[in-house]
Amino acid sequence: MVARHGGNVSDDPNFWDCIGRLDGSEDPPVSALVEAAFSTEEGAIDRALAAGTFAHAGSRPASALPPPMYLRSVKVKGFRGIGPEAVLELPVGPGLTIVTGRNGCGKSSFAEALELALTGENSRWSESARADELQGGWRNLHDGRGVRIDVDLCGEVGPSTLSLRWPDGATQPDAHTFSASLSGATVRSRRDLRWSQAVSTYKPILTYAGLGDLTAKKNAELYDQLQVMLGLDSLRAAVERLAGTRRQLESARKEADRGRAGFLSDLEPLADERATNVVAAVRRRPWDLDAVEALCDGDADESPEGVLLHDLERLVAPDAVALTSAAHALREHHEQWVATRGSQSGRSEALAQLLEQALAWHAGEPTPCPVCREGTLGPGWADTTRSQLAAVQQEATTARDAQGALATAMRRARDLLSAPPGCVLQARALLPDDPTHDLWLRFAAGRAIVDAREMADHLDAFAATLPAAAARLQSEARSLRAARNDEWRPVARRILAWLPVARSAVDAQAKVKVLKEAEALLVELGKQITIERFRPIEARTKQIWESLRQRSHVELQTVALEGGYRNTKRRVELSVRVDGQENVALGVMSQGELHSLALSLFLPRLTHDQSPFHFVVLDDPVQAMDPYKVDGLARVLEDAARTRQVVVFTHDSRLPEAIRRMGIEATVLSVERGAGSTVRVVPERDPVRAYLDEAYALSMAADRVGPKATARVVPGFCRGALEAFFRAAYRRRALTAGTSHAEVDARLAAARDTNQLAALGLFSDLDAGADVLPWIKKKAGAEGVEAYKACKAGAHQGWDHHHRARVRQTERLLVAMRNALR
Amino acid sequence: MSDVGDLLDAADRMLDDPALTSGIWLRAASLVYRAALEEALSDFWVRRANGLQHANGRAQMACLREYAGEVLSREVSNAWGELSAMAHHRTELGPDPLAVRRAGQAVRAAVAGLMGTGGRNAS
Repeated sequence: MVARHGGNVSDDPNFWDCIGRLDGSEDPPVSALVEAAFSTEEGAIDRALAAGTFAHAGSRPASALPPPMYLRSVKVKGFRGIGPEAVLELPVGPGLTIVTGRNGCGKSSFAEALELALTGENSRWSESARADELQGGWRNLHDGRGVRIDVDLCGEVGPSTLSLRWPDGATQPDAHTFSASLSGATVRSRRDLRWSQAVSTYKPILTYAGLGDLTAKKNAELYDQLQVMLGLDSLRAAVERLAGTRRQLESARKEADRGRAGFLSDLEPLADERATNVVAAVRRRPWDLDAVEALCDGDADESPEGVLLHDLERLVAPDAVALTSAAHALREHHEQWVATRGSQSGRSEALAQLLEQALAWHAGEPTPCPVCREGTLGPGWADTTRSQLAAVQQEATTARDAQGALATAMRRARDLLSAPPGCVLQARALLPDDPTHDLWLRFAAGRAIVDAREMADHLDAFAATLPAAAARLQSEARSLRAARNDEWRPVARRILAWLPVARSAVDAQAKVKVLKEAEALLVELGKQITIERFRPIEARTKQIWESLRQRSHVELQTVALEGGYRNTKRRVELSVRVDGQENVALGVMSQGELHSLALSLFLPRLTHDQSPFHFVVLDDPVQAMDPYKVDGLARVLEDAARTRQVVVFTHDSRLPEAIRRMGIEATVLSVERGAGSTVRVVPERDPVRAYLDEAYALSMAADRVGPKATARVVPGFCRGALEAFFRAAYRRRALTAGTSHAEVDARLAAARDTNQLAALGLFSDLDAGADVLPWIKKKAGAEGVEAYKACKAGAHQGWDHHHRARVRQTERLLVAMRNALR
Repeated sequence: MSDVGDLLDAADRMLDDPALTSGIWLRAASLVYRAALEEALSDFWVRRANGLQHANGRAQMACLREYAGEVLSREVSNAWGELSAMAHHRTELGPDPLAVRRAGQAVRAAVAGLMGTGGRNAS
């Protein structure tokens, strides 16, 4: 049923409260994160980030709360201060039980055992700075074998027992096995018990460790503590998990930013288009990292300038030798052509035609010349003419050839006059002072020349200048390009190394955005839940504070949890009125007041209507409380005990004293520790009654402690009964009359002997010792005086006999005095 | 050693008896220890300054320095004062069991000292 990434979220009520508040309008990746944040499973948030979804168990557990229950007993063996099995039996049902005992008597061991059985942990162990020490001391020193804890419960839950068992070799307190029996059905694990929600929401145990530190802490910590008390800690942990993941991602971004700043300052001085382009690519958001990679990867310099320099390096300039030889050829062919033109060559063709026609006219027969009419065209003439014709024809061919050769040379020369290549034209922008461009243009302009000699001069002139200029340009370009790359390559390598960091930062950026949204959402949900859970508590807190504050001038106005979870703005808003003036609570309250305030804040949750725990356990709430507060606490407890089984552990006698004095109905149990960690729980009687009872018992069975000891102890008990009576009488009268607790305590401490105590008890006057015996004689007769004197003397000298009669005498004196003072 | 030994043993037994652990029984034990100390002191006076055993406790403590020397007299008066305070009903809770046990040990030491110096003058 538990889904793959679900972790243990399905048991967490805060998880379900949050899910219930999502209305579907949220981005699915955001709500997935809110859900994943509750998982304690490693990497749950990362997976939700990657997948954009989060799978969890289908529905909230149906039976969220167990049936109501009361505490019946706590049985402990071998645990902490308790050696042989000791049992704390509690009166079942609503009512107040005070468990007293001095420090180290084993009473806290019962409270810790109960907490451990119910919650699986112990706040004192987990919170205390001395945790290690306490962890080591979980096993009893005297009797550490067969360590076990059994907590009996009853009520609607049915007769039930929670049991912890430790194997004998166990070294750690959490090495126990848990089992529970619920109305006869056995449950093998806490998980199957399904009480964790109830325990975390309504944990019915409040220890001093959870309360006392509060007041010393900063407000933000008070807030945190309240959240724990309100069962909201898993919410806080969820927010922290999101924030932790976000911070990790943000640190990736910061690392990338640092790297970027580093190479940006290196790129700035580079007059290199690649640098400019990289800067542009990382200035825009999001960074164009593909462009950056293309610019930096390998040696290829695809920037126009790089291409230009590359082309210039490979520039093919006109060859000087080719130019001069072309010029030479031109001149030669020109001379030849001029030479043929200077002969008859111009008329050779016409003469050849005339001679050919004359030979045809002659036609082999002597014929008078048709031109001059004087000569005769005979055979001699014909032979001469034939050879003349051949010569003329030869001459004409030579002239034609010379002209053709000159034309060819001109054509070749023109072909050499190439136009300047594009790179040379562009180079003018890069190297404006270079002459090549200009030379080359003028060189190419020579194509318009028609005269061969002029052309030859043109070629010769440029053969001397252009190739050399081109070569200079080429080498200039080569060194420029080398310089560019020398500056560029190290920076490019750094940028390439930065790229993976940058890519993960860009990836993180998107995640951070979703995480922030999820965080904000969860904080908001948490606020709503906090307010909702805190609202009913605020009213009760004010009520309890009113009872507890007694003579304090501090009046509590409002209590509210404000601010987010993790930020410094979170605080417990406590506004108070001191003698009618508004003020800030933590500033004006004394330690004891803060302590009472903390109790006021936490008690309401323990007695919440919906809590299945109809018992409430307070471990030492009286510490550091001033006596007025103890009286107030007694009233608060009396009130809570009307609907709840309230169990208070205290090492302090003031609470039982206040309860007796104020007539509050309560069971007072005393935890007593004997040799070898033997711990017993006995009902605590009124001390006057206790002394008399023990004195009677001993007077009838002197062999219990031996006759000599009995002779001392019985009068000692009788004197104790008188002293207890006088103390209680003085305290009740003085407090009723408005004397302060502190003064009452101081006067009682000042009484040095029984007679001074009697003076206080009878007359509220320490110095009225001389009036004691006359008063007793008046109210209790001679027998009373005898009893009083016997008690005082007997405690020193012992009574020889008639122990029982003396105890009776003492009791009669007590009755007489009580009646007289009433 | 008669009475003193009986009382010391009785007080020890009371502390070890799990049935006698309540506050008032711890007071009782301190009372018995104190009685043992007073008996030993009384024997001491009989041997050294007969008659002083009838004086009240504070007077006896005051005189002891002359007869038993500074160290022993302080041991005795400290134990006596502490046990007297424990034996009275001064607080709702009884004395600390460990403190009573320690006071008992101090009484044993003081008693041994008183019996040891019984025969001769302290110098």
